[in-house]
Amino acid sequence: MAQSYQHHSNKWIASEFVTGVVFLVCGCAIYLFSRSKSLNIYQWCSALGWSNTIDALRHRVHDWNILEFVKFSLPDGLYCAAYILMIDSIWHDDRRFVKYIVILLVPLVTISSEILQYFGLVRGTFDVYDLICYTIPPIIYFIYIFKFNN
Amino acid sequence: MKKYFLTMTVMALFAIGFAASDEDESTNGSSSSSEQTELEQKPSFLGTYEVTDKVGQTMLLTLNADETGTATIKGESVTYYCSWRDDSDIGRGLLIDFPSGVGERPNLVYEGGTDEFGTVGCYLKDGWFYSGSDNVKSNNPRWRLKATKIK
Repeated sequence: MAQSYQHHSNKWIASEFVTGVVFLVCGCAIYLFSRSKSLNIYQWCSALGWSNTIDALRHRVHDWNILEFVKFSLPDGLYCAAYILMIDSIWHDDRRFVKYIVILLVPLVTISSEILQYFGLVRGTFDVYDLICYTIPPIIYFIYIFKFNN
Repeated sequence: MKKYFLTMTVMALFAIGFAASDEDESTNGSSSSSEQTELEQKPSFLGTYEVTDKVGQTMLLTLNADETGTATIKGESVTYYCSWRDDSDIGRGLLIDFPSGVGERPNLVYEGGTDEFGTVGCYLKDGWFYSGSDNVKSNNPRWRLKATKIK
């Protein structure tokens, strides 16, 4: 198990990348189907001519009692996890320190943004669940790295 | 080289993703809070509405800025408590959400009947108070009562 990380098969690497894409798609789907139409993602999809399909699906999920956590915070975690998985799969054969800087780039930006919201330095409202969702994926990733690479 | 190209592509994708969660008219990165701002910008529906049903009961429905509301029937002392949510983006106006169950909401009488068990959502749209999401979506005249904003 100690060597498993560097020697993942191409199938494993592809699976990791695809999992990242799936997480990203799930996060986007939550935004599209359960959040305000004023978000840019909806406007862009409308510009692509997908609004009828999206509206039909929004109507389907309308009566579902979706938890606030799922609507507002889970997409943040999926977004962060998707980035880590995709970058890790691209840099799978690289053990240089720069890899971890690249992997931490998005989590650090999003976590910083959330913390700055707490201090009023960035527009928006601080939400501790958003912060937790941004923080968990890198923590899990580095636990995995330390466990299987050391 | 391929690795750096893919990395830059993924980073660009996630930068776009970060922008995608933003508001169309806002620079706010936190979409949940910017949606709250959106509601703050649309206060025109807040206030008190008078709804008279088919047997002459008059309900006074008050919607507050904090997404809460109250309803009373004229001549009765009971106050019913509700919350509201703006579902106008999916063609249903304002969802007036009373707790489910007997006695948790005013038992209004529509042309189509009553919802005495409080099992369906109530909606306020285009000056009408509807019972049921399908009815508001279809503008069903049998399950709506005229709602007049009185203050």
